[in-house]
Amino acid sequence: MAAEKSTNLIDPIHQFVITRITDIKIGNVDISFTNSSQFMVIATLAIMAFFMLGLSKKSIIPNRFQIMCELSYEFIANLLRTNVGDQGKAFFPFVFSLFMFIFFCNLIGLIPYSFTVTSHFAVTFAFAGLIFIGVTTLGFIKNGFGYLRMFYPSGVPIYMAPVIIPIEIISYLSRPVALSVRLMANMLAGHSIIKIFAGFIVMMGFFGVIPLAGLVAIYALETFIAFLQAYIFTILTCIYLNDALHPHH
Amino acid sequence: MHGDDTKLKNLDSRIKEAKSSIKQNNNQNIKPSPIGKVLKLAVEIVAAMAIGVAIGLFLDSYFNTRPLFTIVFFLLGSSAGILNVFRVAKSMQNN
Repeated sequence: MAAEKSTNLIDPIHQFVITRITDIKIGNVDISFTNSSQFMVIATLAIMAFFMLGLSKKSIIPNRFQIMCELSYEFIANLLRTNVGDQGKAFFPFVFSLFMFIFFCNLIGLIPYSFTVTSHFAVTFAFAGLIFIGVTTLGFIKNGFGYLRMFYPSGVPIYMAPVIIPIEIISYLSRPVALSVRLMANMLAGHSIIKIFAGFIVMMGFFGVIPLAGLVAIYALETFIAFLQAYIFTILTCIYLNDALHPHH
Repeated sequence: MHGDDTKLKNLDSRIKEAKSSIKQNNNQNIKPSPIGKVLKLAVEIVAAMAIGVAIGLFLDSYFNTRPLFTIVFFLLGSSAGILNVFRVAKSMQNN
């Protein structure tokens, strides 16, 4: 179906189709190398290249590349310090890689003919689900069963407990869904809009200049959203980490 | 060597000055757009409802009591969604 539709010029969803590059199967599990995995690898290599280039010459008066690397480090370090506190330092490598990976995936997805990894719910939910499991485990390790007190806010009368506790548990379970849907929806919507506007340019001929101007503006907005969504994903991870380390409900 | 040292100290004091002047006027310069805020709230409420309904459907298929738990957990999920929205809105106000 995807192949038939590719002839259609304005098919905003076609850019999200996953194609297999090499077929790999272990037992009944399909772990083929797809275009999605290809762009994950590209994003990882881009991050490595970014830091290798930036930090190859460690000078006291840094050049632009080094400033970018140091800014990204300081940005995440500040985020952790303000949201989690000193205990958060242990999680810096994880949070930093998470932010850089999502940010680079979003940015690389903006390059024409590339693929946006983060526009798929499977990918974002894998991130959010793993974070959720990790944070919950951490909460139980750090606080024991006292972590369960999070589901029963202090000051609530006991006869309200049968209602409040399920509500709090559902609210807790909805975190990874909300986290992943937000990132996925933003990427999906943004890229579809870009594609639709690009279609208008072709359709309108000479007057395509008008949607072209709009497209430039949307593209700028999308670049900002690429950063903002990575930031939101990271800051929420920090907030959940903080809840696991110091539950104070 | 000695010249480098004084240069470094000079630079250090200049960096400190620049940093203190920056800190005064922008400590938080990343703010989500209004649309981003609205989307955030919408996603919160929908996610909690979806989780509630999913739990309800699962329990119903397990105990064969359709639609009892679906209705109960839909209501609980909606309350959880409103609670989430309330919390997010409160943290937005604080910023």
